[in-house]
Amino acid sequence: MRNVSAFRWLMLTSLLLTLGACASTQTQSEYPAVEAGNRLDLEYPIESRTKMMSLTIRRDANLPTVIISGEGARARTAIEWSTQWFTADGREVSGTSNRFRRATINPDVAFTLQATAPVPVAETVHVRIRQSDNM
Amino acid sequence: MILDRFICIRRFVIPVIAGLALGGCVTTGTQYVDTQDDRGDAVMALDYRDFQQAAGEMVEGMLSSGAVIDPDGGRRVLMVGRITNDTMQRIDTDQLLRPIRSDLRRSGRVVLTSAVGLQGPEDESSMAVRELRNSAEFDQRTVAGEGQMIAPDSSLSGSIRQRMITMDDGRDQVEYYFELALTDINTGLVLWEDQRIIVKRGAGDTVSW
Repeated sequence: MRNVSAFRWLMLTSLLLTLGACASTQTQSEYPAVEAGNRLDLEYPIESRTKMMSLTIRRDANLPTVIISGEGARARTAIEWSTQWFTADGREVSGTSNRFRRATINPDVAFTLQATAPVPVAETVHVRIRQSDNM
Repeated sequence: MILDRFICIRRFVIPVIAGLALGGCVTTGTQYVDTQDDRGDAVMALDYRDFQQAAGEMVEGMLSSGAVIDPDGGRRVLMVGRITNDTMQRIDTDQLLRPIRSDLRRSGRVVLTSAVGLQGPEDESSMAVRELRNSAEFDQRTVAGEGQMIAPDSSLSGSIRQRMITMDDGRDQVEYYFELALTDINTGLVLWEDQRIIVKRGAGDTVSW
């Protein structure tokens, strides 16, 4: 009888230890996936209306291009999004590139937002996505 | 007596509450608008956000297409041609052109000339100072010499058009077409062109001009 109880305790302890070890070794990934130095702000309720969001910058063309990818969730949502480009020394690139653009995201449909910097020296980007009341 | 007092109180209290409630709803004071974060309602007419959107999309398309890159490695010299306003609104086409011009210049690939224009030079100063030649009042070494001005090698032209449609449910749909073309002046070839459409739908009694 005592042996059975001890065995149960042993099993439970080893199970807990195994689970604990798994939890500590699991890598914690950042969400949304944004390249270092850049920023992606999802204003309420956009965070709950999107999933698998990521931000990358392509520099293969003559001007840097930011690509935001994701998938819609829950409900059809009209959005407005803007980009703010910054040079390597942290100065904001002024001009029309920081205007709000309009788009619509649909549940379970993948979408891509793309914007090109107006100057080649643009290094990092701050992207803001908010719900639109005008669509 | 008690009834009279109740009626009297009711007469005063109800209007006061109603007034306070209405006062709380109506914003009477003038407010500044943060143009970087404007959440104001859309209007049927063209507002600054529409010009910003059309200009921004067009300049982004023009720059990313590579059309403004000078094949000789220098910078293109751009003049502004005719921009037609074919809408029912009084529009200063500069509202569309100014942000495009400054973005193009800022890109470092284009310079603009203000000395040449279809309705005369945009800035007449360049020619006016040349009239000072041979004037004994001016040190001639400071007067612009001959053969110094740079002629444009490309021009920007376009139009803003409007189309009104009444929908089956009685609402109005206004379609605005922004069109721009970049032409190589030496060859007459169109290097780049684009059309951006902004569509608005609203109540039938909404006036858009």
